[in-house]
Amino acid sequence: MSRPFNDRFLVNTNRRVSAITTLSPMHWWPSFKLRVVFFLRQFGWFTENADSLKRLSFIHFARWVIIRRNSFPRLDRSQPMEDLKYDYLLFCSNFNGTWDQYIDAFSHAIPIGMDRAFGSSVKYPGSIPTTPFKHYIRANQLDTNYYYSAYPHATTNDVKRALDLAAKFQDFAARARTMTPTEFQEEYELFLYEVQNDLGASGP
Amino acid sequence: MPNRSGQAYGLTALSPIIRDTGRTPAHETEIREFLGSLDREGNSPFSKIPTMHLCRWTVIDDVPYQAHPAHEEHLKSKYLMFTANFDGDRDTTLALMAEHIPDTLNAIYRHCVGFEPVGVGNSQAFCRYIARCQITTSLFFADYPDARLSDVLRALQLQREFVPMMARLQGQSPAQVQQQFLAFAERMQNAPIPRPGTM
Repeated sequence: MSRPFNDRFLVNTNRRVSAITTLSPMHWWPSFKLRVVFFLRQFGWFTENADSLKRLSFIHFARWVIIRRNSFPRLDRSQPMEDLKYDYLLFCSNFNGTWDQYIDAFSHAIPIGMDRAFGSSVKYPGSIPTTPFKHYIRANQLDTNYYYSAYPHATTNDVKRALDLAAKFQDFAARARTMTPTEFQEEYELFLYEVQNDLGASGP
Repeated sequence: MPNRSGQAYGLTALSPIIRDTGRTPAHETEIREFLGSLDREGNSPFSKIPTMHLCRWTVIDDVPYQAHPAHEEHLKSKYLMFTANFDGDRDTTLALMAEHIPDTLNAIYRHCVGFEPVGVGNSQAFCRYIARCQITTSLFFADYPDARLSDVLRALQLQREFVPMMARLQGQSPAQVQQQFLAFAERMQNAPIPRPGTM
């Protein structure tokens, strides 16, 4: 597969967030089975990996997209029609940490989920052991040409803790207006105890 | 709704790049050069889009080949992939893009098949174009799916300013602490939303 010719045009990171994009081929039957799995998730099946991802708490957003071999957009008759044998699984993730940490975590924390998603792909080696898994991801990875984050200095944990702090802060501030100073002192200390894990600061 | 997680929307669009083998520089080269020139933080074009959390553009030259005995195949067009994670519905954010960053969109998508230049009053044309390029997201994961961008930016600003405020209040009387805490709360409530790309 050809690669962009100049690293100047590759931007897989933006401060504390990194992008990974992979495109892997699938035969039609495994592709169909994966579509069924994704469909059933809407009804509560196979959702345990989403809970694991939330616990890992280092992915802002991620997606899996099945591109069927006849569904690459053709917008004009002048555009040649694609003639592909494989469907393709597109995976995009926005995560914190290094590429190696990310793949290690996927491999060891949710190997079943990884195998369920990528197991439909041609020549997928399995998520364990990690080295062949990394080679597979690397071989199917696309480099990003432009990458934007509205909060590039914040990790997923920073965002979730800040949101928790904001909710508790608003609640306490609304109640604090009607307290006596003595009541306030007691409640303020309790409030600080409750939000102590949300404190810290992201930023440049 | 596979494109959604909570109130967050995951857009995936593949735009075919114009194929012109005799052109120098090639269309995809011009796209790469332009994308490489764009700011990615507070002066990014997307800092003008108040619903956009994260997004990326990637030029797809070809599909990966897995080596023998896998079948070797190639794309006949190159594609510009745009994936975005934003608040609310698709067309609202696409219309905001057409309204606020038309020059950026024109500079990029003029190299793509079927694109009509974006100008004043035709934001819907851009929405229709991206809709034609959209591939349904099969599985979309968002770790904080119900938080809008304004919520996230305000919360990060509060988090950044809270600890210094708390340190300043140490050692003061309960009445002074209460007074200053309430003043801080009012200031945070009235503070403008931080500019996207700066937090």
